[in-house]
Amino acid sequence: MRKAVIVLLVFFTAFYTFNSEEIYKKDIRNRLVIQGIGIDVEDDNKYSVTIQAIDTNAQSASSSDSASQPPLKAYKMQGDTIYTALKSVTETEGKIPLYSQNRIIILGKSITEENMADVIDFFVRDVENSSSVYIAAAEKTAGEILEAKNGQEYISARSIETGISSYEYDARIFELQLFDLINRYNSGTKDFAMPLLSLKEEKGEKSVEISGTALFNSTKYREKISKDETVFLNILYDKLNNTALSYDMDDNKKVSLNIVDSKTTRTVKIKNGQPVFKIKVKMEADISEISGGVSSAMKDKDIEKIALLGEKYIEKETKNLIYSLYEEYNSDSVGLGRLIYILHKDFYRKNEKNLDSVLQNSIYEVEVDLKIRRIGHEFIMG
Amino acid sequence: MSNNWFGKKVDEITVDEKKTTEKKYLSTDLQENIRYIKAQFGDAFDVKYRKYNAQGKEIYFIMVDGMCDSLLATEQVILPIIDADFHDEKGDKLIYSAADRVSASIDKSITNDLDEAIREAIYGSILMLTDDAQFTVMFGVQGFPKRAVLEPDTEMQERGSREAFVESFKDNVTMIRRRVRNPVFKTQVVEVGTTSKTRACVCYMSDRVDKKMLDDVVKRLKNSTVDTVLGSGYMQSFLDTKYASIFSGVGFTQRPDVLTAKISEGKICVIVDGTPNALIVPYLFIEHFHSMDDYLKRPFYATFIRILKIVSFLFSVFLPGLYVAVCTFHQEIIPETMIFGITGQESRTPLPVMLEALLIHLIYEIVREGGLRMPKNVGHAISIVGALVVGESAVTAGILSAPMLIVVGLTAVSSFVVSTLYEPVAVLRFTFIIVGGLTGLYGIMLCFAAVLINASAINPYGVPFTSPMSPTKMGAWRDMVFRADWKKMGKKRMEIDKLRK
Amino acid sequence: MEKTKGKISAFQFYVMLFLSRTLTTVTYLSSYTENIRLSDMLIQPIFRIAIGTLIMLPVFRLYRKHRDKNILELAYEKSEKLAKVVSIVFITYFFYFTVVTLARLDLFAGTIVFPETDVEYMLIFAIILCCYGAYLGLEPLGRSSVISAVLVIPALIFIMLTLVKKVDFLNLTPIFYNGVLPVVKVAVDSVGQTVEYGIIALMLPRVTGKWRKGYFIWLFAQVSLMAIMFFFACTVMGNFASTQLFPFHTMASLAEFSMFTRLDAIFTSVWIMCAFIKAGLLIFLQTDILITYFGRFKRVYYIVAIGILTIIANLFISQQVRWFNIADNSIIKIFITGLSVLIIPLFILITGRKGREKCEKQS
Repeated sequence: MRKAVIVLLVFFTAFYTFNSEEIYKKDIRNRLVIQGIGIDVEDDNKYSVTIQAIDTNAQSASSSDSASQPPLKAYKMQGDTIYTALKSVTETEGKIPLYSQNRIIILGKSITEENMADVIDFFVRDVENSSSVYIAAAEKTAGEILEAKNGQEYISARSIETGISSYEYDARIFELQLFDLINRYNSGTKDFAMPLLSLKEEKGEKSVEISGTALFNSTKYREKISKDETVFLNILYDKLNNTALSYDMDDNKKVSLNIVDSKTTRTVKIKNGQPVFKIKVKMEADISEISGGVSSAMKDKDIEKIALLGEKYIEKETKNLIYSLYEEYNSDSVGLGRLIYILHKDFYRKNEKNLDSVLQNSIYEVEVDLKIRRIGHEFIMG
Repeated sequence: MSNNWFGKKVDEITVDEKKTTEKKYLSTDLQENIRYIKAQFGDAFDVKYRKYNAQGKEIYFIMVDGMCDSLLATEQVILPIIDADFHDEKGDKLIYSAADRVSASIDKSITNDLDEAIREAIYGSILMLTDDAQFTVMFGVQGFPKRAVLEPDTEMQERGSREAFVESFKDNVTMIRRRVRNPVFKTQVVEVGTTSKTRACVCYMSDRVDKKMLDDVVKRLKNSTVDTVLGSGYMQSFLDTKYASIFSGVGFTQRPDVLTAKISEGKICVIVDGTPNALIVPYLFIEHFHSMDDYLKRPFYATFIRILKIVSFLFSVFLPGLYVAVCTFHQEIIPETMIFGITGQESRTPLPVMLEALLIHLIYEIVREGGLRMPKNVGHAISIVGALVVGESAVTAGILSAPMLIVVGLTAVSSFVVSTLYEPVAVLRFTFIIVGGLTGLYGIMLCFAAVLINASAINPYGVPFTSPMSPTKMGAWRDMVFRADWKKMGKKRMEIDKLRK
Repeated sequence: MEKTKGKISAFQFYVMLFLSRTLTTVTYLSSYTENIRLSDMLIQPIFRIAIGTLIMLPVFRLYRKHRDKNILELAYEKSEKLAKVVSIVFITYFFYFTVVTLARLDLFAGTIVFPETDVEYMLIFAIILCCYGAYLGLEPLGRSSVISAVLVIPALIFIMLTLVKKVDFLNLTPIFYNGVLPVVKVAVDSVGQTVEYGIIALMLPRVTGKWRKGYFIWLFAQVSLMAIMFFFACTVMGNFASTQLFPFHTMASLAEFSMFTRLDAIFTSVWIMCAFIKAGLLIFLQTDILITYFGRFKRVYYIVAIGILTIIANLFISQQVRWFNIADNSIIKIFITGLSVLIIPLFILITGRKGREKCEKQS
């Protein structure tokens, strides 16, 4: 009897195992691997979601599986909510969408100018979505970015993500990941910044460009700053790892530095009921180029001069940016308001509701210490 | 009558008396004894009965032809005896005289037990019987065909000795004896198999073995209920622990140097006649990753190899299951550079990843088993067919995917790195594939936890199977994963008793 | 009453408890700390050490006096009825935490790992394996804990090391922003969630070796782990952590190493190993108490019975957030922990002293 029970158990287990829906439903063969999601709002207030996914039908038909550029396909769906719009891709493709390999979320102008809060919930709530996915804003629509083609091939979301992730080498690019966005969204000011994407067409060739950084105030798009200004935004954010910086010297020469290391410390003190922010920037740089012919051997004082000019330049530009952020755009994208919250909680508690005006009226002191490390193939004279 | 002769041989090997319900003693009537022996052997063509007349006395020699060296029997036993002058000695006196004075053979003993005499004859002794004698003398003239000492075929070593055990347990014991020239090396012969009466030799070092463990091993061998013992594997389950476990607390080896090393740690080894694999008890989990070469090479390299073996073991068990789990449930883990390749390849195949994995591993096991059993000249064809059919063609036809093939290839190679664990690994691999395909990483980890606790529950002869890792014995860690230098290891010898709970 | 048997070394015992407490730490739900800011969780462990050690004082005092007897045995010395009442309290205590532990595992599996799948059969599978672990006994649990710890601790350290470059001190929050009392309340709640105190109370006589040293190392280790994990959760995720059901799991999903992203798979593995050890140990303890004080059947029958009851209780709670919240209530936990770890030992201690004083007066 016992043996019969065991045999039956084994049989039913084997039957269940091989007939189980689980092994078919969630198998990678039945998943649509999404690479990019773009969200816009149509005139009828419906969400228009564009996704870029790996076209497995074309991929399986091709003989090679090159990792460089897999065949992609863009799908455009509509729905009352983002989730319903995304889910409707199953009707078209017959596969369940896989969000965990999503590289980037692009928010169209219609979203960023109205209210981003509406779209955030899905990405937070969905467990498959990676919390470290990059977020970017589109100058026009997110759909045009993800549907853009160069010849027969789509401009891949992966290449856009690669461009944004190059912020580690080029501080002219600002990066924002989903978890950071939510963090800032849930903080006092709800201000943040994200890279701005635009579609450029030149001689029939399309390309997606990071045209600058979009600044937000209370989750609404406020203003765009240029890529050059983004460098100083990254300095204020203490996110500068490596970048190129150029400024004018005397005698019409231009010097280019390769910033190899940067550290920004920010402190705040309350003096006479007014926050005084001290921003200290410590940098190390190599001289990459001095325009205006091949230089003769440099002297120590020349290097000091270059460093001094560099410090003044960075200080000036940083202060300009701070002025723009707080006076003009009213956007605490760099999170200086949070410093008050951490270090002076009582002051923050009193001024929580009018923090914007407090920050507008605060004093900002910027101190830059630039050290020139190497000067390349050039002889230094004492 | 010399008391030394009762039930004892001159050489060191002793035979424990089997408890028999009835003993058949020799009678003074020679013909009655002959009739009894003939009744036991029946019409066996290889049992020879020869009557000689030595100075008027009737002497019978009985031997099993294939088991004895005929030339040795003739020259060393029969000729001296029939040529000898026994004067007026007869009966028992003649027997003792033949044993003491005439034959120079060292391997001889006297008994009055006919069954014992028959057993000795089967083992390769020649029996001498005469009228009026209640004793018989048994001269050991073994000369059965046996294999030469060759290289081991499963435990290959780079620097170690090239000797492997053979089927004759006496030769095996000799190989150990050559390595331990010390009387502390002891042996005890036990008969196992109610019909086959196979000899199992229990080897140990008397100055470091645990007496209780020794008694336990001998008792288990004696109480084993197998009719015919044809290999050491028959005895494995009797020597193993009571817990149902996928791992065994009994190890085996073909190498005399390994066996010597084990008994020098206070372990007990059992050599079963007729099989070149000796059993080792107790055998710990970590020992599966040790080899003789580890002790012959420099410590840093030995450590590296051990770590490599552990990693290979983990690959061979978990890699297919993890691949299936990742492809089915946890696609987010797949790096972005690999997702395209895996998706494309898998989307071409008709089967879900789990079934694909089961199929390919089944095919691999079939090819492996076929390669093992096939004659050598056909074996090459198997490997070519296997590689072509399973490899290239299956992928081209879209039945299997290339990543899966890479997984199974790596798994297969890894499983041979630790060949002693092949059996549990093969079963666990399939289990983890099914569990991974149905429940993902969640199920794999639960299963792993269950296997781990199952292994932790085994206590072969009071020694925890997972020691010295757990329970932690720091002193033993010098030869666990890392191998200390011999200067350090040589200071204090490793004894299994110290790991006993 | 049958005498309990089977000893375990202090090292194995405290490693087992460390893994058990690690599970509670890594399955921390953000709803537990909605009244305080995340940085306060870095300070909260200090209160937890103090409160935890305070409530354990009666247990330690009893152990110092009666080295070879646990609370149940001491209760049995007073009266059999008292022993049975105390054993029922402890069985309930351990059963409750078994159910809650597995309910959290079920919530995790159903929400994060397999959101579109029925996880009931996985829950049953897990409970069966935990019962198997309990069946094998204390020593295998102890040994497998040590080996699991070798995997779990480096895995957690690895995840945290990969998050170092994502640390942003601007995500910290001011300490005691809402006052000290909410932090103390969270510390008390945290102590209430620590079933390990109850395990220590019951198992101390079965521990061989340096129990006191082991206790403080365990206390320091699990508090440090908690503080470090909260540090990373706070500085890496900031306010994002409070939007996540299982913040530490989300934190692990942000970890990257070379080309591998989303190291939450490692986290899941850690989780499951710890859950297995914890649930196995709790089921073992329940069985042990049942055999000792109500023993009439074979051990395996008790394990099967407890397993079935656990399955029923968990299936009832499974995938129902409302029932989960009711079951995972901090008031119940504080009450039952306080009763088992503080009140009962205190009662035995006081009545023991009064009994002795009475004897002395009479003599």
